[in-house]
Amino acid sequence: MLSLQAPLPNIQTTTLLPSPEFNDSESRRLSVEMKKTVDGTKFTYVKKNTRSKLLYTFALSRLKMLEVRAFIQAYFRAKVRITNHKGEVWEGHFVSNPFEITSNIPEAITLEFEAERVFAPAVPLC
Amino acid sequence: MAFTGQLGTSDSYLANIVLGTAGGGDLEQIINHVLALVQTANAGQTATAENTLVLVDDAVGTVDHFESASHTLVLVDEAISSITMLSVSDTLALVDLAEGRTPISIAVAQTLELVQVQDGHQNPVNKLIFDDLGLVSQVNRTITVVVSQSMSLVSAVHRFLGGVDVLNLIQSVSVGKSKDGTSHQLTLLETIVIESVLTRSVPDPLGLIQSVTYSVVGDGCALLDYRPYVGSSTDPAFPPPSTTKPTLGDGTLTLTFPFVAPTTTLILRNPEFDNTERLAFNRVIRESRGGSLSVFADPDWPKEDILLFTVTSLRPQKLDALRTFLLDSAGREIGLLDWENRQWKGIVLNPDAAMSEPGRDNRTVSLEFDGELV
Repeated sequence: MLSLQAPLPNIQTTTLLPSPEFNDSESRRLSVEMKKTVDGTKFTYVKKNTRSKLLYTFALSRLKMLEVRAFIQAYFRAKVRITNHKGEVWEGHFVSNPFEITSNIPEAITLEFEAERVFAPAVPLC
Repeated sequence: MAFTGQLGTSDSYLANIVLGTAGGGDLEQIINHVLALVQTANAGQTATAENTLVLVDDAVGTVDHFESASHTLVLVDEAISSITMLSVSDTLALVDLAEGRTPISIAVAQTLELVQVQDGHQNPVNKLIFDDLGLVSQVNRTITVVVSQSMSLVSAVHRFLGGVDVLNLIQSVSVGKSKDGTSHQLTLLETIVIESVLTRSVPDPLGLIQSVTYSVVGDGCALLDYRPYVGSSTDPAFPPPSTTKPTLGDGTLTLTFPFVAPTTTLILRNPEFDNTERLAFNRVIRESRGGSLSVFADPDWPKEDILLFTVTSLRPQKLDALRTFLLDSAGREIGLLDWENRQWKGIVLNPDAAMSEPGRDNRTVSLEFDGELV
């Protein structure tokens, strides 16, 4: 299960979603630019921050999709808290544009966040 | 007839000058009487300096008729000390007596002006300044109906660190015999003149926003049904989504033109699956040099809601009707009743959509519709 809560910091609305489909992704917002001089010396320029880009695809019922649609229309410019299926808590913004809702059975939508992880549960050692 | 007298530097003088009238024969209209006195006492290194000047200036008019009688006495009494003294006392006693002895006098005016200045230069030692003024006004044997006595006091203090400013006013009228009764009136007039009043307002807005939300422990139906958990908030920036569950109906794709008072109606088959609703928002997404992400969008900025759908298995007659409909309504607002019985208002973005024919009597067209729910 995944929950969306907005707006931060004064949360008013909570929407519960089923866990996203497989092939969800998480990528750090990190870039490296390398320059090489004529004598072969390498210089690297690193741009990094604490955010990650999250990509989740949900398969939802029609009514749940309408709820997500209403949530997006209300909070597309707000800061959102995401508690994902792994128990991680992320805080960030929607960066999808446009949001595409594909009508099928079930309906599908892909949400893209750029968020910062504020909590991560302990990973079991075994 | 005039007298001019000057007194020397002797310690004490008594000047008693009686002025006679003009000659006893003719009537004279104006009598001027000027007396100027200058007395100076210099004290060197003496511990005590006294300087006493007693003046009695009496002017008596004994003629029968006066139109104007003026009697002016000007005294300047100044005590200056250039060294540090424990006490500086300067007493000026004035007795100014004016009598109208004939019963036909119209008015008797008596003016007494006192200017008393105490000035301490260069950080004076004495901290107390007393300024006493005693006025006695007496009128004898008069038939004047109104006796007026006015006094103006002006007190100005500069570089005043603090202290007590007391003004005592005592007015007493004693009447021996009175014909029409006694009136005793004391009028005080106090005026404060303010050049400007500057009101400083310091805005100090403190915005407090409170919100209440849900902490959902578990709700299996919430994953399938329309069930947003909306608490309450005082933040007007983000109106929450509706908690009313939408009603989904069954409908047939119906296009009407124009939107208001439609004259053309075209009913098509419902589109295939994989139709798409595309929500696009205008936002400004910026990443600062420090790496923080800022997202801004004005709620009044336009939003796009585009429906993309494909209708298949259209017969040629229906396709002709659709072609005519798109031609007539190109760039104009139409109505769209969708397959969930929701009414939209918008514009067809691709009236030049390709109409393919994948099979016999089977036409297919894909439309893009930019609209909003009514």
